[in-house]
Amino acid sequence: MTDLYRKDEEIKKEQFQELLSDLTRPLNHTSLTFKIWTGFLLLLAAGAGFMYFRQVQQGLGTTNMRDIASWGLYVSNFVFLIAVSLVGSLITAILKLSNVRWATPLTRISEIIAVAALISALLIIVVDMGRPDRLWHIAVFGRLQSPIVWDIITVNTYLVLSLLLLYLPLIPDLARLGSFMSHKPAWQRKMYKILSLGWQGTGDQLKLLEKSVAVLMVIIIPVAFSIHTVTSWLFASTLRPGWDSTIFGPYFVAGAFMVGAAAVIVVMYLIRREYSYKQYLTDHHFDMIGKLLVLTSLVYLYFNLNEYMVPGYKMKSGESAHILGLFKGEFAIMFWLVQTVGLILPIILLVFKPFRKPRPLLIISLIIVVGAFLKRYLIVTPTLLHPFLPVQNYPESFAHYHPTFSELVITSGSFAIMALVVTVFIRFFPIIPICETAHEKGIDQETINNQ
Amino acid sequence: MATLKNIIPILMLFFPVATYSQKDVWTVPPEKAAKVNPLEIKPKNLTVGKNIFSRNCVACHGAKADGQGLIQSASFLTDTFQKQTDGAIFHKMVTGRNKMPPFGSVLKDDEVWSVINYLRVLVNPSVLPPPKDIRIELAASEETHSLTAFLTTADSVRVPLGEVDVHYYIKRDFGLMRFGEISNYTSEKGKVTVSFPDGIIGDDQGNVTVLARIENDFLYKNNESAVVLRWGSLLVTEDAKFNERTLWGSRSKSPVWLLILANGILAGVWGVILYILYNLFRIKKAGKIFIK
Amino acid sequence: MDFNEQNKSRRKFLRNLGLAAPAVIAGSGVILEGCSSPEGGSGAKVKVLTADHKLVEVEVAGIAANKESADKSYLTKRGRKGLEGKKFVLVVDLGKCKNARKCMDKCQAVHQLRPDQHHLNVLLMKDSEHTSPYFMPKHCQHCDNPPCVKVCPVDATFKRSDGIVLIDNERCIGCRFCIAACPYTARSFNWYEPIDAEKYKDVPYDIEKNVPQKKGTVTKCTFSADCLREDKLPYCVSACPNGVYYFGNLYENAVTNGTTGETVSLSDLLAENSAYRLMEDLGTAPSVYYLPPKNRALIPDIENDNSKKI
Repeated sequence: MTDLYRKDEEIKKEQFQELLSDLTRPLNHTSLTFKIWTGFLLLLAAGAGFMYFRQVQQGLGTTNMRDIASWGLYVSNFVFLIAVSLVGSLITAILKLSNVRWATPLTRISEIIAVAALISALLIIVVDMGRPDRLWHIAVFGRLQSPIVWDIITVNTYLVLSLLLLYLPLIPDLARLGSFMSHKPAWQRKMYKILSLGWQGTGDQLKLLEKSVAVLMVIIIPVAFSIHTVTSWLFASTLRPGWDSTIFGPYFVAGAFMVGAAAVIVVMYLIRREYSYKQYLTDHHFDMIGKLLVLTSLVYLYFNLNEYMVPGYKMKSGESAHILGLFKGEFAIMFWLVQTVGLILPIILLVFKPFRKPRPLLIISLIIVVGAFLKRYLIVTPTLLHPFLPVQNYPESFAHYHPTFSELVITSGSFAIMALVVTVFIRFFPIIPICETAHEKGIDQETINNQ
Repeated sequence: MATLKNIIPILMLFFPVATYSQKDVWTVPPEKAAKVNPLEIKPKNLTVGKNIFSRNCVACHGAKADGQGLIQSASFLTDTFQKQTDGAIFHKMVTGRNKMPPFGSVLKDDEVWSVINYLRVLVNPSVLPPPKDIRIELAASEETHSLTAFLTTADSVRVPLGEVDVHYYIKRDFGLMRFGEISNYTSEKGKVTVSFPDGIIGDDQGNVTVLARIENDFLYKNNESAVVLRWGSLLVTEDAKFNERTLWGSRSKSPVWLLILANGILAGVWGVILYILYNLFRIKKAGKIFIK
Repeated sequence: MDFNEQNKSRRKFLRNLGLAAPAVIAGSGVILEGCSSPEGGSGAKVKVLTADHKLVEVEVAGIAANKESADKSYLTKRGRKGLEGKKFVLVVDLGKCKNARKCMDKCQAVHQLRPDQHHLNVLLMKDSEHTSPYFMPKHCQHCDNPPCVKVCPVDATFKRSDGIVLIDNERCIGCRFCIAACPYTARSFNWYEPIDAEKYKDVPYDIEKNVPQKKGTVTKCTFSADCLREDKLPYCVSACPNGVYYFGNLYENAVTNGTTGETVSLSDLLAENSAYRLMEDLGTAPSVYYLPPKNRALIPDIENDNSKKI
């Protein structure tokens, strides 16, 4: 062995050491901001818990949903969260399978967002139920003809797949953590040890892991498409104007990729700022995902054009009340804000490189996320408020829908729970994959194993 | 408040009608009022009158002839009305005024007179003798698919009764369905025959319950006689169609294509999940071997 | 079957006694007489026939205390099957409707609904600018291709062989998908604790009448299945003062007018009046037919209409 070689090995070792201590920093370091943030989330979740308790006692009458607008903020929120969860498959599976290398540090972020959004979505849909105490009826009396049953099956399947896709690439990192985190409490080290499945980084293990991840990445794509397609069918399977559409599946999926990418950008920015991860989440990453956001937004814009332009051109009797309500009626301001500021403007801005710098990109992404949430609301509510037959013999308030304070608190609580899941994960697991990043930096398996 | 708002326009609607009936006197030329009713008060005439009344008058003047129909109108039970001569009532019915249509163009003179007779009897039933018991027998002829009612006195002598109106009905789930003519009068031999209509649906054996009734007759008490006949077509249910596997069927009746599709997809995806869990197990095993 | 027979004969016995609101104790259980009791035994006391044919007067709560769970499921099980050899059909003569709303009142009273809950809603329709307005009573259409039943995840709402679409409020999970799926806005939800929930707390659930109502579940028109079981016309049909409704069995091609009691041939009635069904183009195949609003008894005053408000 020559000196040169030895030196190279040393450098690699040092590099890996540095990488390891950098990427485990969130596990060791809790800033005041972090504590305030966690406290704030817990407070929101507690507030939502209280309001939900009240709702269970008094009935869904604590919401402003009534016989006409029988679905409201909760269902919009469910659709939104399902949409956000799709990003896990986009970044992790689609980009990785296409050998997009810049996506590596984003995979775990997107996967945990997916898991958190799914958990939150499952909670909010139970909140929407009139009889949550009868949830078990679905298991016992479940009817395969109902899109709700399809949705429950696919969402849970996707949750399992997302957890696996989060967990599998984490195994080598967990093995490293077991030895590196000697200062942590015993239970935490034990958790790492159990979860790492005795990972030694042998050739057999590597091969098995690689194969499993590859299979997972392939299978998760159709399942991801199916969850949002089936969710869209909750609406498209009815006869109502505004929902009775054949493009709802791809329309929802396209929208989901857009909001998912935006959500990843927001979380990316916050992590980069909180833990000074400038060299891991570089401006290049923001630039690239910004471009991806333009692409997904353009696809979504195309579907929007189809979804509103075609019925708007024909003005079929049932549809026209709905379409006019959006174009120039009760919902016009929100509709046009969502379409212009929430969709068209971001596309135009993101075409220019300066707007794909982290900070402007963050602001644009936040706008997209808010716009996407309102868009789900615009899909659910106006349709219900424009049934085929006139709305008569109801109190005046039935003809409109404005969420109550209780609904708003519970909805923000669902976001808080989603953020909490992400926050807790960051506190206990490396949010940027250690071993994968090491591989990308050219550090060989042997160095990693010997650490 | 809402109810008050509702009531006012309704009251306003009735107001002009009410004023007409009180202030405006409907004068009939004396020569018209003097016209004499050529019809006797006979059950047959009364039935004709009653039928016309229920077809043309009830809507406005009410089933009880008290003026409480769909609109407020003249009551026929009051003295004011009954004191008029038959001729005067005849003139009013034939010419009409305001909301009262001129029935002269619709009804024959005899028919108008029979309605007047009916209205007289309605207020003063003592014009007629008290109703008597009647015996009714119903016989069916298989050859002609017809039904014959035979009416006699209820006593042991059993005198056939002619000129009695018999109503024929087919029993349905929620009521009796009329068939035959509006009036079916018995002959002098006390018999009246009607043919059984086509296209009547019976039970699953084709059985139909048919009734012959004497009802609201002016001379006889109500009575009826029923027979069960196998003259109906078989009741055909759509149960076979109902029991098919459909999207709206119960959980045990989901369509086969859906079962195959859903379970196929589920088996495929969960098969992969199980395969991955198995791989995790193998990874764990591979780690142990390395340590040894 | 045995139970059924027993029950029938007892009911007859009661009827002979001329009781207005009888309840029957059959075997171990209690079944509150449905169709013949005006408000489902709303009074504190109710007359009850014991197994040995003695007549006693007891409090409603008193009977309920004797009930056993077997009888509760008996009503539900029985209610899930359609009446044999029947397929019910409602014909609404729009020309005769004068917006009296006796049907709505009766329906809300019988089914223990709040004033803003409708199994049956009389709508003021105006199809287009130059067409004339008319009143349209709108029930659940009891579709043969029911979009609401399709989407129910737990078989809570179901279609019987006699055409009636019912909902089991002991099964319903309150997802409200059926409300979203129904193009006729025919369903209602119990957003709060139902009115008189306390009073009916111990009354066994009658699926054919869908009472007592339960918080957090969907409720809908039942075509008064409890009445139909006794060969009586639905509550709304017999409550109408204007002869709007005809109701009957499609299989025997006859419908009976609820006001006049006149029974006519269904096919003739539909043919002579050019009957139609609501939103035929949606393919829902309703069991409710409408006779066009020709020769209207009352032309609605659309300017001064207050029907949109309660």
